[in-house]
Amino acid sequence: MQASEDVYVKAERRDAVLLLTIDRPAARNALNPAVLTQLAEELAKADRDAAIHAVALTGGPKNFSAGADIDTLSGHTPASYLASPTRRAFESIFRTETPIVAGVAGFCLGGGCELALSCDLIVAGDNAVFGQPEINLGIIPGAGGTQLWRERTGSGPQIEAALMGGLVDAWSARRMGLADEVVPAEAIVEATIEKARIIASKAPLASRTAKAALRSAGAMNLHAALAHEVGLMAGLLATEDAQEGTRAFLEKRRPNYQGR
Amino acid sequence: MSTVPYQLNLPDHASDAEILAQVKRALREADQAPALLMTGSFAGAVADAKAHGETIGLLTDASIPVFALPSSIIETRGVSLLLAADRVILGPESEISSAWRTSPGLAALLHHKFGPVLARAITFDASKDLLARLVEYGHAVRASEADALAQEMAVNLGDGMGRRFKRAFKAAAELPLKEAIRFDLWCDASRKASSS
Repeated sequence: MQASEDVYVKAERRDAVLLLTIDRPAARNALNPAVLTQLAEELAKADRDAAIHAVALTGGPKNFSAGADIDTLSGHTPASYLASPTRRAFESIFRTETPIVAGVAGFCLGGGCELALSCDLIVAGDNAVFGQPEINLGIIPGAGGTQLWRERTGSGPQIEAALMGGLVDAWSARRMGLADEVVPAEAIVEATIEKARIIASKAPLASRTAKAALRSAGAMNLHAALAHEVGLMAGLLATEDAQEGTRAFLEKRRPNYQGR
Repeated sequence: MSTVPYQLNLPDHASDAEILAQVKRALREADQAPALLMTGSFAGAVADAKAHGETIGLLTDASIPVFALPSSIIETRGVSLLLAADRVILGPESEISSAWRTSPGLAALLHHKFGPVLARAITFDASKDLLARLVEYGHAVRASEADALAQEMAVNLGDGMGRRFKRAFKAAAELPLKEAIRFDLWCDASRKASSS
């Protein structure tokens, strides 16, 4: 198989959940441009597919991702990195509208950690190790690693990660809010899918709108974000799903959402 | 997977760095064993705090149960090894140094193992015999044949059960109760799935 044909991201449908698995075990799922581009493409497809209500993104039970390929990084000039598929892919992944649950086992370092932090929820296997070791290579994180910890952990762990480049185990990650749940590593895929299924069982328009409202927290001040939230909520009132949700509640039955 | 526990015999007069190296190797080699038995010398004082701290961290986070079997005098360094273990089996010759209260890390390890009330009872009460308190509070047991008792205990830990208990205890210490229970349920489900 030619390098250009290599498939590093496996995509499987599990009802309304799209399971994406980074599949580059020989390199501990290191992120090269092909991995990131394939991930970005799969997520963009999910956004266009109304039947997909949530995404579960894992690297399997051994490693989520050990980070960016060092070769990939070292081959860049300042100008070429800014225009690179790697940077574009990270931006595209971060902008995904469908809720994403990351299932993190083993190494979740550098770009891998930034990828996990671009997701909405993080389930960690008990062997998970998080970190931003870029400072040890004479660079800094370039896809959110100096920004995205803070929202979950507060300033201290964010600063330690960026300046000291240390590693954080699953239990510490859970305590500091970096991870939302810890499960046995061997169950990471099923546990991630289970969480994604819970999201997928809700009204899909509401889930995507909730994600948009949540993301506004970092993009605007509180006053603007509250105004944005009420506008988004008002928009949902006109949907069939909102009517179905309230009707099902009153009729004491499970709602049947159609995404309209 | 073996049903025989891995035995680490701590030599006399070993430095903290030597003990650290031995514990590292033992935990690596005990990968398939139901438990790690620490035997030999629990004498000596801590000289290299960094190495000793790392040893204690490795033992408290060990993925298999760790049993300490001191058979003679237990001095200040040995006290923290006992408290880092999951279970202590005291032989007829086991005795504690009168200076046990000066053991580095004592308060933190007692608190971790017994909680705030019993940790204070042990440190503040006049009792001179730490070993008697460890037996009274359930961390240690006395046996005329300590090694035989350890082997007997390890029988129940084969087939991955020791490892599973350690993970479940870690989850219980770190996670909210319902999440910790769910953690063990996932372990059980994964074990059944892999054996079917």
